[in-house]
Amino acid sequence: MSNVAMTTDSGVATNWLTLEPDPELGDRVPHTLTQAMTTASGWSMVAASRRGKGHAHQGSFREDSFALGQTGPWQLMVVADGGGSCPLARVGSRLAAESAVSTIIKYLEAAPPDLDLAKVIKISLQHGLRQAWESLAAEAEQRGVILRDLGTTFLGMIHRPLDEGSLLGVVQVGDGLLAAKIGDKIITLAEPDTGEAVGSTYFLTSLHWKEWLDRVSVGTFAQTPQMIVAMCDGVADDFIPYDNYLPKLFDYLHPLTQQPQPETALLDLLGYNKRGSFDDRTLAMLYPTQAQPL
Amino acid sequence: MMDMNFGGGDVRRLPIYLLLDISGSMSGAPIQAVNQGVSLLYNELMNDPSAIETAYLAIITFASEAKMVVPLTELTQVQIPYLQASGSTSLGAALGVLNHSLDHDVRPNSPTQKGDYKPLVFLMTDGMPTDHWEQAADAIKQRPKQKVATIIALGCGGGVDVNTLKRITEVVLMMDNVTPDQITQYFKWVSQSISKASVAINAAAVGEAKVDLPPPPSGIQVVL
Repeated sequence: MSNVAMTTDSGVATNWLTLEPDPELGDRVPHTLTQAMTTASGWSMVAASRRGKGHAHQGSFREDSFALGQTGPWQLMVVADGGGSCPLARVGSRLAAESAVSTIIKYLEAAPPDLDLAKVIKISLQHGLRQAWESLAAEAEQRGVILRDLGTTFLGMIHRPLDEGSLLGVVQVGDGLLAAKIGDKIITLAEPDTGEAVGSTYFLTSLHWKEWLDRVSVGTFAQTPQMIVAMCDGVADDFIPYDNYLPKLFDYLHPLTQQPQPETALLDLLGYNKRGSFDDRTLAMLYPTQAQPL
Repeated sequence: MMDMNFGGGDVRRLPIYLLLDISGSMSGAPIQAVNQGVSLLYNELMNDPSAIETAYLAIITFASEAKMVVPLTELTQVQIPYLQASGSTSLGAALGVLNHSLDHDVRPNSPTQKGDYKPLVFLMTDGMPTDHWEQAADAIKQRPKQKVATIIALGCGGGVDVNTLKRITEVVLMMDNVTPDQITQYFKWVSQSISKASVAINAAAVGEAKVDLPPPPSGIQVVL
């Protein structure tokens, strides 16, 4: 038989199906999710998530999620990738992201005004992480399932612009990528977990929340970042090795900041075809609203 | 949909190895069934887009000597060989060929390179090894963690010593009645295992990075 027609020139298979999940299934998740938020402090946050070809072919739901938030001068983003081997992955990722963001906002708003800002960020992120874990634990108990069934990665970020530069706190459990473009440099902001085999990682549920607290790190950038991004591995994996390909990602993302509906443009961008890339794709980005040229 | 294909070298591959016993005892109906099974496996994988994009197939046969009859090749480019049975059972030599290929043909993950997924190896044999196999078995089982493969060994019939296979891998299956239908069922199961692995490659958490194999067909038992 001829195999020529089975792939495009770039090796993408031509027999992917797009199937709907069983209508009887609960915890339904839309195949795409977008959000845009312009903050009072002159920054914009845009995020998009879309079901991967793998899930579409199987007729299963998107398992990635994200949540954005802002309060006063603070911006926050969380992306989460529900574990493919976890039956309630789609519930876990959404719950972790949303519960963390709402808790972080509460802590930021309640922080004493004289408290050091770096400490405010650190404590808020730690509480967000704890709340994400505890929300998953409570959900597991309510459903009578084990915590691992709700397994998800967790990548969180809090940003506050300063008179000069920025203050940034990050935390990452599992794979995916947090990165920033500052000046001519692109830096990764946390160390992704990768297991001994490619494709294995940690989930928030792999350890007790206390074990993750020291992963929170806070730093100051003397220069204002042009863009900060958080993404799940469905996108990040396509840009490995990062030294070679991450600059291209920012080249793709920057023009979106000029679009009237950047969240829709981002969702479209995340529909790119690439051989071997069929996971869900989720990316959140933060940038000064008057975006500086990259 | 825009194309974001940044060069050809950065697709993670899922290496699949078939180690097939083609010794004289496989002559007749069994080797015919293996030939049909390999073709069936290939056609099933070609219906699976995730396998088309990621799976690379290698076939190592062993009889009086071991040969890599199909080097690790992109699925769409594989030419399925016609296998004939004769000779003895050089399992040790086959494991040596496998070990060499795992070292040289599988790309490890590194900061500068997108590594391959953990290889899947399906070993099928119907008899006792006739060469010095122990050292090669130990070398396979003691591979460093970063370069390990998932090996599934199938023993066909009563001529197989389970302990031999257990020295190579923890995952041992036994087919008691070796019939063409059973062999066909086995290759269907191999295809399902690969499809499951190729779509779930981002699924596992650390410490549970085993491939989640589907239950084997009836007539094939998992040896615990």
